[in-house]
Amino acid sequence: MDWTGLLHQIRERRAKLSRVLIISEKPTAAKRIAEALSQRESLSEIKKGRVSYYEFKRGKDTLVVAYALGHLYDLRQTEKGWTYPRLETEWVPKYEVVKKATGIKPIIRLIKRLAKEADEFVVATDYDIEGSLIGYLAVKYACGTDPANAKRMIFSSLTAKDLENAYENMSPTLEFPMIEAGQARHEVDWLYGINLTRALTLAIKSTAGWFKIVSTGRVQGPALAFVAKREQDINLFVPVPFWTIKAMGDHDGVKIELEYSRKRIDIKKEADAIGGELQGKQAHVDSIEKKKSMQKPPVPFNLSGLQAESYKHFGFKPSRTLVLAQKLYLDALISYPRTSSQKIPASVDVKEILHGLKGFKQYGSLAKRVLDGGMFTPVQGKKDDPAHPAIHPTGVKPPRRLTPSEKKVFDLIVRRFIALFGEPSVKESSRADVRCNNHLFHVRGLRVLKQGWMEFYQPYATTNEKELPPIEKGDSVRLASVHVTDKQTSPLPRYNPSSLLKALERENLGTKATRSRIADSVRSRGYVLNDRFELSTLGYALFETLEQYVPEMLSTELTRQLEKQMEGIQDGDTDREQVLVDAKRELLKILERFRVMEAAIGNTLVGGLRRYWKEKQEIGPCPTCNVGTLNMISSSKTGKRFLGCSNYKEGRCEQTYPLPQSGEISPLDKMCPHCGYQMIKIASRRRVWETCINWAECPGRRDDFEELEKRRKSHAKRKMGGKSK
Amino acid sequence: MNVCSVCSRDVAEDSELCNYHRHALDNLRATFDDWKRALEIDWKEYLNRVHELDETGMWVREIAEHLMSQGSSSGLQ
Repeated sequence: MDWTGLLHQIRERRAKLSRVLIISEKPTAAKRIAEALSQRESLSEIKKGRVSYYEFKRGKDTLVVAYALGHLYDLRQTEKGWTYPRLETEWVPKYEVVKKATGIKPIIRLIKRLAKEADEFVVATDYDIEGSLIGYLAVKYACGTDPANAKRMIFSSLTAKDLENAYENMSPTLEFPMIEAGQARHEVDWLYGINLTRALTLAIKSTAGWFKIVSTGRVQGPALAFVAKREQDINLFVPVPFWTIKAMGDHDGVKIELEYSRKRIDIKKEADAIGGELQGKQAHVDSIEKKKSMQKPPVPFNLSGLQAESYKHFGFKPSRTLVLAQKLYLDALISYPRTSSQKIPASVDVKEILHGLKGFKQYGSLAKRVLDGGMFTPVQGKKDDPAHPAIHPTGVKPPRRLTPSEKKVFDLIVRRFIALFGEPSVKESSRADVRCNNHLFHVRGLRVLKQGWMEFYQPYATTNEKELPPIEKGDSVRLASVHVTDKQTSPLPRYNPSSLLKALERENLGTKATRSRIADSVRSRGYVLNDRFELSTLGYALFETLEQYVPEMLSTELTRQLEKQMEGIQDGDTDREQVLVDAKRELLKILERFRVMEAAIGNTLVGGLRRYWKEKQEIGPCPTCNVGTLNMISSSKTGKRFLGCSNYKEGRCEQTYPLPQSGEISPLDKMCPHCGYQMIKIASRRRVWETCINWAECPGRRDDFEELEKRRKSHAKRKMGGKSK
Repeated sequence: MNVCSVCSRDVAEDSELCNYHRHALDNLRATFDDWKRALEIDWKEYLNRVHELDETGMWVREIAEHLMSQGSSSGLQ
């Protein structure tokens, strides 16, 4: 049947049928959809215990909008036993796999009930692989209907206009190739993640009898390899000395900073000789060159661009930025954030958005300038995403007071959007060459001649402007002081959450939605020690084990291959079954090899775990005996933790220090500025703070200590008061 | 199997060091020429200086310390 015929059939069917069940991805999205499609006229939220749905009339139809909570279904092995290999899976309600997912049960129950009365099913989840799969599984299992009969609302923002448009022009079918690809991704990730994690964990169990989950996965393995290889480079780094020369010149009483034309000198004698030769000499301005350059506005944000910029300006981890952007999206303030696109297509009504932004106090004047200037062609980036445009504001005002963090991300998105319409900025860089015999110095200056887009993107666009001093060709400059500075080469820095995310993106590992979670999981599993991604001994042990026995799990090749197959499924070149057959065959080969080497693998991991746990307990050297190490110890009587010297057992040192009783404690590379004792960091669920091990006695922390005591007393008093009532 | 004379890891083939420390020693040796040319110093002085620098990698510092404790004049054979 051709499209016209199909559309005709749908229209006919819609004329007859009257009860339409729309399934959204989240409760907030359901509310937005209901508000948009009902025009708020006959909308009612019907509560059923902990969950709810919306019901209203639209023309002849009754529309019912229910919601999922992300994935309602998860994969579970069909055979029993916490062992490996396990290759066959089925989709079951998520609460049967994830015990904490108790909120899912009433939602599935409600959808099942609503589906019984529905004549038509519409998926209105996010339009991407995950969203499509969520909708497909909900229709298939919760509604118990054939997904081939369901229709699809496609939208990129939750504004009333977009949603209305998505409903009126809905797709007659679900996007099955995308759904198949999504299913295959879940299944392959399950196969590799579950089987290899069990293989590693059971190797530890059979070696030491401990049950300690050591996980790996299709993307987590390569992410660990990035961090481990960088750590190795740092550990193997030998610095090389070099010298730099800078001079302070005097030109008619004006001080001028001069940099030597050779950025580094590799021989000390030579550097010293140059320094000695030039000291106090007269130099002359040889030439002054000025260059103008134009800089176009930065490209529209895709998710990784937004995450990088947010980390740069606010220090927000990529996962946090994604959560904040998701909240802004659900409030219809911005378009769908999980996008790779750096383009604002013509279908986005930029004029309307700018008009909307005109109503904002802080953006009104900027939006007005763009509107008055009539410049409505935004700058475009290279990357594209067929499903969604680049992240942009919708022009809608916040329906509630935004949190300070949400405000920051929103501000960044709005200002970036307005900047897209700005003119190029014009900068003038200047360089004066100052010569003394055969030696050349440079004096540099930088001026912004025209702000252009930078004006719209404040305070995020900055230039280190530096005026060239008032010198002219032929002027003489006395080299009043010449400094030779010792320097050494440095290793590449460790990854941070933002740079690891970029590395994953560069290698096409994970999806835009999962990368930040993977970076977080490397940290939460204990494979790195801190946010600087310093590899822990456990991380090393796992990396070494995988490198030796299952190198495929660290390589990006496996994932690259899978990504190709995903694309193949979407393009119709291959199918999900074939991808699964290939994946299972490769996995079985790995697991057979693993089984043979299980004892050796177990030994390596157990050794790493022992070192890791020992290191986690060690805070630093004992300041009293200077021989032992301060370890975290839990009292067998009270269960309370404290610091004690490792020399205690030998009866040589009885030094102890009290510790805060909650939060994860880790030593810092610094000493207390008040008492000189080792500093520690305490990370609890609510906050992260620093103190010294001597905090109870430290003169610099007396006020904090007294304050804490006061708080404790008042808390105890309140508790007592509560009890007496 | 023998263990590395610097740490407790297994030694690499044909070596008394583990892979990491053997690699660190290779790097240490390779960089000596740069330091010698730059500062006209001998191997011992080189080890001392490298050992003191914050930028020096952990395995390099460990092998340098090991060599210094052995009174090495030219590195492990």
